Amino acid sequence: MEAQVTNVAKQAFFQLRQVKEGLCSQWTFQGLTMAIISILLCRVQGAILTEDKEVELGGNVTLRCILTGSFELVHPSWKKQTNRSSVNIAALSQNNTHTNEYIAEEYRSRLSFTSSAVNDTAITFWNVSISESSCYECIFNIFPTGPISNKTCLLVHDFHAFLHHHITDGLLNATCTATGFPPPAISWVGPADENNERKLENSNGTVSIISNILINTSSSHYGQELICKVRYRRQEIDYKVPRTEKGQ
Amino acid sequence: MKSDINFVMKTWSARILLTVTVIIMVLAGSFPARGSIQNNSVQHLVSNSPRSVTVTKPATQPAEEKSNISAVVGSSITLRYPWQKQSTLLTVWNVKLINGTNCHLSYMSIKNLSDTNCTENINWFSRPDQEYALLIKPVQIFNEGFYKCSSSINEGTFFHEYALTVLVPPQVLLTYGSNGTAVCVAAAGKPAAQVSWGLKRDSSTVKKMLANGTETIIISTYNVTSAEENNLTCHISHPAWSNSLVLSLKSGRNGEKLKDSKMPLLYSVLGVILGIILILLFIYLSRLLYGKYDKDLMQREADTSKSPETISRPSIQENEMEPYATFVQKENVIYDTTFDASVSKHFPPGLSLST
Repeated sequence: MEAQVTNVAKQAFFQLRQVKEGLCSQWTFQGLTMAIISILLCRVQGAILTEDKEVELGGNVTLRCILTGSFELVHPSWKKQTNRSSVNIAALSQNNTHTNEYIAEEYRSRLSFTSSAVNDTAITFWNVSISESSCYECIFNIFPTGPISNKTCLLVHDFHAFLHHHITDGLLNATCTATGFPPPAISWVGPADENNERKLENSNGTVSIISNILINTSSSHYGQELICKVRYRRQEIDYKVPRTEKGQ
Repeated sequence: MKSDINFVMKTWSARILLTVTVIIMVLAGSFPARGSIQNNSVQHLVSNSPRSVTVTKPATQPAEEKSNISAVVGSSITLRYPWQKQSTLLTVWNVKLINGTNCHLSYMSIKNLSDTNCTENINWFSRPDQEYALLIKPVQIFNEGFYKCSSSINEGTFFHEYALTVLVPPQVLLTYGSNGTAVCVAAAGKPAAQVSWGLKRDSSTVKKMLANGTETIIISTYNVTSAEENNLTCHISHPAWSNSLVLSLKSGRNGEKLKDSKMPLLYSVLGVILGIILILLFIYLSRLLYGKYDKDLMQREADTSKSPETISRPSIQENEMEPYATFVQKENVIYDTTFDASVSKHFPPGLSLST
């Protein structure tokens, strides 16, 4: 019971710190929700509290799991879920004298345990890359009932877009480029004589969509409004092609 | 002198006969008598001798995998721990049976603690400090379910799940039904058996599922025409058997004569009949022999007073006779009690005492 109270306190502190750090209201709301859930779930033995996270490319992010209740032996470990299976990336084990932290070789430079408590485990990714966008499983190995786990997903996002246009030889050539992760999408509003789109996968894991439109300046519909609409994560951003005078 | 040769020859022929009989009986016994005739039908119960199956995964790379395995009810199955044993902190087998019950087998190496709440037939293969494999012995229907092995080591947690399917071989029956139909039944098999008739024939197959969902009855009915009555076969295949089973129904003068195409019944019956005939022959010969011997002996006893050089003979013959006589008496105690009495009755007082 004492452990449960400690967990609640930790959780509340965790949330408070987030508020103090001046994170946006969405985070505060999430934190409050989680605090309420945690209070409710603390009555349940062996529940794992966690939440999904979003972070900008290159930022730092902490994934956290809290186990409610007290158990004989707890070895927290973290697995990254890949397409078909999941791989161990971090684990904490303890024997009678000391606690052993394990980080998988490829993560050693950018991942560390930020909470080494056995029933409150947190790992922090430094300078996240798109490849870290995945779901992670936190596992508490309990004697004698076996491991219990929960899942937290991390989304690493990145976005930038621009519009470029020029008129040569009586042709308006407009190119809309949107680069991001998750992949953005491009659509056009207005007339088009010719339209083509390319998709590029960049080395950092982001995706670039390059959409090109051609309008004959002598055609009747030339001069109508032309907009490149970029959709990215339920948002839509408009890039307008400046109106050009007919026959220019 | 002539009677002695005759005696020796008879003794040897009786011994050869006995040997042949024993060999045939042994041979007949080696064919499992799996068929039994009941109500003009063949009830073929396939012997389900417990087999031992071991499931092993290559232990090179820690893998998170699922494997499907099956075991015949009554057999035993070993689920291997799929990784290297060293440096394991905690090993747990979590069992989720399809009947809804869960149980575990756990071993914590640092404290050398083990714990289980599973039924007796689900246990460690040997001792958890030596071997992390799980043994199910004997496999029961309710053992069907998921067996997840988890291993906590310094480098993280590893899982491997075995999905166990329990197979129950069906009880099969081929018989004549009403209105000139033949009925082939495969009952209580899990999963349901596949039933078909030898040649492509119009038959109606009914599948009945029993309440608990684990037992199925496949009833295949076929209208027999007179031309086909001579060779009617029902083929039953089931995952618990390596080969499909063929049942034959043969029509004869007195209704139905039944033949199992796998022939063990026929061999057994023939062997037993041959054995009985030979034993009877053997008994007859030995009776004949003893009768002759009695006469010879009486003759000799009468001659003893006349010629002293023949005195040693009865003792030689007695020695020759002894093991043989003992055997006959022992052998036939079960077989023919009256014969025993008749033998001792014919023996002279001195000889019967010596046996």
